[in-house]
Amino acid sequence: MIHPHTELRYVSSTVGHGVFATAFIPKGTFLWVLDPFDRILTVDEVRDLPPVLKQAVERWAYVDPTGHFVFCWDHGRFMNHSCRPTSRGIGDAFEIAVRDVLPGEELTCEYGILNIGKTFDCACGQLGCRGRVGPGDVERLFPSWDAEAEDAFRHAASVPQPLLPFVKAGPRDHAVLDALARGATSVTLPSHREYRREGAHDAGEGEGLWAIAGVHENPQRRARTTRADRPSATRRRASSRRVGAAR
Amino acid sequence: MIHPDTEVRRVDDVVGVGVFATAFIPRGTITWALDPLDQVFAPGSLDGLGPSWEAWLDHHTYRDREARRILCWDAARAMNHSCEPTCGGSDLGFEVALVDIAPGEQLTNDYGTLHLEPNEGFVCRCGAPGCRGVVAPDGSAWERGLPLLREALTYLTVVPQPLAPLVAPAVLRAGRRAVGLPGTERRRRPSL
Ligand SMILES: [Zn+2]
Ligand SMILES: [Zn+2]
Repeated sequence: MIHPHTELRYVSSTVGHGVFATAFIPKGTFLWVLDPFDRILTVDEVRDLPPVLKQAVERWAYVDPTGHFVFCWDHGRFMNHSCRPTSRGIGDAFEIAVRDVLPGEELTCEYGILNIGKTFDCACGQLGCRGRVGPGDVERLFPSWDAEAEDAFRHAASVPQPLLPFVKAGPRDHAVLDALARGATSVTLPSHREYRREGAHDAGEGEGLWAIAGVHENPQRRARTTRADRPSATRRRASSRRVGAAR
Repeated sequence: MIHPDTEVRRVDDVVGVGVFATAFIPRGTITWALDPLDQVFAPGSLDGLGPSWEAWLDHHTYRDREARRILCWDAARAMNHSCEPTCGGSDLGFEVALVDIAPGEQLTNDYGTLHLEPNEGFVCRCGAPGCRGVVAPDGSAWERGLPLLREALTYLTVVPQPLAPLVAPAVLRAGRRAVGLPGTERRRRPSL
């Protein structure tokens, strides 16, 4: 679930939509949490969808470390990537604001941990933009991402957390919830590195999320998936022009 | 899934957002279809969620004939009420345009057809000439809307249907039968 003080806005034909703050949101606020209504879909479930819905999932879902597609029910799925995002991921269920977010500012996250499956050209326009964003980036950059998340978490217990009643916490998130309940400002958080799907590689253009989601499937089934289900060439080009498919 | 020729737009601070046509949508067009990404919850299955979710459920889900909660995955959630709605039929598993919908016009439902609980009636200021003032939770809206819905469903086969791949033919036939129309034009092969 995305923070209540946000709205969906159309950005441009290249970027599509984005999520924007409608009020001041302080550093340390959870900007997004996984909730019970976000769909967790298996590779088979996505494969069996009618084509128009399969395209929606390919465009707006991300892949979690267990290889499931996560399709957010609300406009959280339209969050764009930035190389200097407003939030960092913590565990499986949290995105935490790493700086104050001003009204009208776009909420962004780091696609480098979302098992995106292919490298894309980034046009986030931030100072320090990596230019190319890929699945391997996390291996190089996780220390600074983790440090940002830990710094932000020091504020988490002292700012309003409207999303906390709605979170669907997984095993890796309990330490975070315990720390908040105790009012603790410092806790060992799960590293961004752990969110990477094991075996994930740069699938190059084309396979995208399917290559990552289906990475442990047997090769025969995998071949069938990639032939029948990968997006068309036109769509692929269209989506690689975007700053990134939403989360 | 909502018709592709639509977009969500801000109406005002009271109403919030609504769903608007971006192209002409003729009467009888399927404007929404219940699809596998929509979530359907049996009565009672969400009781364990806790009180923090109550307002959320009221705002984002509706109830069908069997009191199941439906959470649409897309802009269909943002459809507003009107006492003279442009769309109807949700209980059939799909909705159709009850009138020709012009570009820029809003896609609306009569919430009175959405199985409101006894305490969910509301005062309406939809602004339609035929606004009832109060939307009663009594199911009368379905009866009232039936002639228009029946008329619209006679156009099902003569207008473009971009959402047709999401509606099984059996669902369409059942929908037509539910409003008193013949379910299908399927002809028997003449016996020799
Ligand atoms: Zn960038
Ligand atoms: Zn009214």
